[in-house]
Amino acid sequence: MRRDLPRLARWLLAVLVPQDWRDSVSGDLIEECGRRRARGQTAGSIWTMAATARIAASLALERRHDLTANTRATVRRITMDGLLADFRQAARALRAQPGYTATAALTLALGIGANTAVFNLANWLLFRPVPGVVRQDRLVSIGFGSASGVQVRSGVSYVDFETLRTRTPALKSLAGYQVFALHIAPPGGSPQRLDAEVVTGTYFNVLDGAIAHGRGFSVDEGSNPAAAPAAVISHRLWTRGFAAASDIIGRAVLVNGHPFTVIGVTTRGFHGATLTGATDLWVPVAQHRAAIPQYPPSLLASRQSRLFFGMTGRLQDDVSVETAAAQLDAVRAGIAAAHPEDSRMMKWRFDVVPGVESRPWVLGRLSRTMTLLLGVVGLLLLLTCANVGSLLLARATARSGEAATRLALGASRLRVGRLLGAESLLLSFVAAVPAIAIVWWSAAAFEGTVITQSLPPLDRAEIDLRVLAYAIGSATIVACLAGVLPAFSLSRVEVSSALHAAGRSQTVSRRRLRHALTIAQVAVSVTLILGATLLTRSMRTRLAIDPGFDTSTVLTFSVEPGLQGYGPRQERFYRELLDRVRTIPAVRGAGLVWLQPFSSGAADARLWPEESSADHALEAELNAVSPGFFSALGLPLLQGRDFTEAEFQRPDEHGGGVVVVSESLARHAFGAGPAVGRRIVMESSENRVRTVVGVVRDTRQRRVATVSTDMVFEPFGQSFPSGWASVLVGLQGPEAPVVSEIRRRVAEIDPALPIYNVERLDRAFAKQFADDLLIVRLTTVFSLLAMAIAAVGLHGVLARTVAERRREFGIRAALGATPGGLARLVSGEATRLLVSGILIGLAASWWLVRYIEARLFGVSPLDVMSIVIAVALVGVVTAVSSVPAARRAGKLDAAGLLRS
Amino acid sequence: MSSFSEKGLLGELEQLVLLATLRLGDDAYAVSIRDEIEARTKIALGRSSVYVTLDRLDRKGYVTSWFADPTPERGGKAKRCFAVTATGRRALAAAETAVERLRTTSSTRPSR
Repeated sequence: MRRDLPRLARWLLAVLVPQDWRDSVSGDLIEECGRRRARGQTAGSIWTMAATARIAASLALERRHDLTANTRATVRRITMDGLLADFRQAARALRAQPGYTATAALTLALGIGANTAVFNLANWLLFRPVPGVVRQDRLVSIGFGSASGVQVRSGVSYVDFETLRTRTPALKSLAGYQVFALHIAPPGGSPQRLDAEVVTGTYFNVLDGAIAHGRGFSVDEGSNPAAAPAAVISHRLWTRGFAAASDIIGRAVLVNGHPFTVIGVTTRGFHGATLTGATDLWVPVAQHRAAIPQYPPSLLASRQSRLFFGMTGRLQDDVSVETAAAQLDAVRAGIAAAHPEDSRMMKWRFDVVPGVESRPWVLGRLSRTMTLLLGVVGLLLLLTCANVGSLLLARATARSGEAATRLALGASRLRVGRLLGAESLLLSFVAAVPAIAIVWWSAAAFEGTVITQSLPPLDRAEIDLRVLAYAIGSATIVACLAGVLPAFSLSRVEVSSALHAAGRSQTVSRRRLRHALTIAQVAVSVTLILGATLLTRSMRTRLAIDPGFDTSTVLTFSVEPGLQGYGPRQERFYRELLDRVRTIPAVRGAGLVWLQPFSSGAADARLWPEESSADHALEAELNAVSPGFFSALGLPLLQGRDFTEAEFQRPDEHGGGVVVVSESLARHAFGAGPAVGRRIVMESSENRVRTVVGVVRDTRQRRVATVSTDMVFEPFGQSFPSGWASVLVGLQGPEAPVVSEIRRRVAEIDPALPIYNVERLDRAFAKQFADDLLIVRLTTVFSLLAMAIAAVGLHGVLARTVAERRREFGIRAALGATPGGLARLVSGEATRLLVSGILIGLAASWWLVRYIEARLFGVSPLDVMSIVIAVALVGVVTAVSSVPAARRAGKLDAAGLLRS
Repeated sequence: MSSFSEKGLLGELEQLVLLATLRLGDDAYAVSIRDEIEARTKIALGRSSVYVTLDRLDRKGYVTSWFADPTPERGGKAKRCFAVTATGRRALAAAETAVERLRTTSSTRPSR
């Protein structure tokens, strides 16, 4: 008869039951089993197990404090004792070889630092929480999507917003907002133009926590046009525009020339319900007549003015996003049913997403850029791992004697392998400190960078816990990747042979491993250099696009008198502005333009010769310009004349309209014959007929350089008056004095009117490619870094090889090998590594290039020139780095070596 | 009375286990205590509750324990025997008195 419990039961008792009960409980159970069997009751292992489990669990629960303390102590005994000793030993070993430690830590710091720097940028642009706002997990963003799921850029009217707000019980509160550029000036101070949000009175309730001083808008201020006009300003505007005045609350400011009272200052870093916003001013929608005079006076009552492109709501505490989405959609369906004439509400759905970022189109572009950059630094990190891995491997070789001694004395293989593991972990954490310094420095360097044209220049990205965690995380991963092979190799030391100091077979297998790591480094750097070369060449192709005129001598600035409520007075303003700018010394000419060249604005016209028909319509880029525009750009009229001062700002609703066309449009519309005097029809509701008065040389003025040069220019103000315009100023000298003179002269006309977008056209041209430019620069820096690390790695491996093969070289020399022959032996090894690395790198590139293919402009992904450049660069640099080792091999003293 | 305020009133289980231990004398251990309660009261306690209660009483100082010699039918495992301490007896008496007093008071309360 069995006299003991099943093994599982014993294990349960051993693990769970306090020691003072353990024996007696199992004794009791055994006794009971016997008695039950005697009585003919079931007492099989299932019954025993169930009884044991119940007793063990109850006693364990009863004594859980003791138990957890016990377990912890046991776990600590098993792991920590050894680990602490390992770390202490690793620290001693690292201190003993400061040169090795510094090299490895620096390499790691570069890899981890570059990685974390890019993550820091991504975190700043995409992941961090919006500053100040509380409980952001309860916020939702509401945008428009079509029934097929495509994003739609549109908004809802104030009337519909109110319906949504009041009929969606799932939302505690709902806010609408829309970004505009507004003018602000302290009374008597100089005006500036900045991003502002026109918001509902609920805005700062939803974004609770965004106000640092003062208060947000009240319901009355948000909805009642007769309420006292109130404004909230950003912390940045408060410090930069008002010198952080402590009495800012209650001060008067002019918004678009109208008096407003500052009632609040936002939390530092808060610039709207988005991570990439630049909003510095908030005004309630009730004050729309002052803030956005371009909208109709009936804005608050009209369903036609779809004002709010962005909506953010705060969920009730126990409500899910899905519930809110369902309720919002029900309200939308209600509005659609009540207003069948408004097809939008019928066709579109609300996209309700958790979080605050409500501009998916910006997000998409940014995350593509960041993904690419993270891929690049990921490769760099891989290379760093290989590099440090081969350093650690070299240490493993050097320490195999020590490892063998430990094994012989009874240490477990795990324990021996752990030694190197601890060393690599320690190295990584040491490296994390300078890495974070690199991140900090890079954040300062990125400040002010334009990431994409539609975003404001980058603020200083502040390092947060997320970034630190990323740095620590990547340090740990690197330690594991770099340390695992060497640790494994060290733990497999053959005791007897290592102790006999022969160990040749091991040295050979390690050398093979080291070679593999070197090849990997060369391969990764070839891939990175090739990518960087392709991107650079593509960028050069783009920057080399000839816009058709000299952009470096043209200055541009913009004004928006419409915002200050000029109305019909703006016609006189524009004339006076041009007169005053034209008379500045060092200005060779100035003209007004509706769409500034290379800006994001664009308009197209469909037109056809009068004698033809709409069936043969041509597409052309449309712009409206004043007399003097062509000469400011330095464009001669090929035929005909420029517009006259009389045609400038003359509406042509009763006919008599004129146009100037580009050379290529003239050819497409009228063939080889003269174009001046011919008449064209421009498609619109009235299909107005206009006479061609001039032909101008072809240029490219579109944002992304287009192939088409078909352009049609009409006199500024002929089809419609524009409340805003840009001035193009032809420069004859340096730009700075002209800029300050322009500011002075504009202030003479209207001291409350700011000028903005002050920029030379060549800079505006380059800005179009901002995000690609960032990628090109960073990829170049990172790939050069990668190449440097790989070169250092190759050098180290060869030096190690020479050191290991000293005896062999000595014998060879004794047998008659020349110094040159020995050097060739080493450089032959270098060449083999190099060629394999380059071939593998090219193969990998062939596969990886698809990720940058979409960004290449005018360069094939298999561009031979780029491949040649990349291979040559990596080849030369790494070959040079192998020279010292080869020379050392040649200089070995054969006799001395053999004696030693 | 002090045992109440410091360690709380005895629970039902605690009273049952203490009384059974008293009755069993020298042979009180988990199995016999459970059997004794079942035989006298027809209440079949779970094995685990007997252990947990004994453990608790032990920590409160109401019982004391010692290990009896291992026997073959117990697979060579020691038997943990229990005896009620003087504190345990006082606590038991106090609990009974408290219940008794309450009962007396409620039945002799003058009705209005």
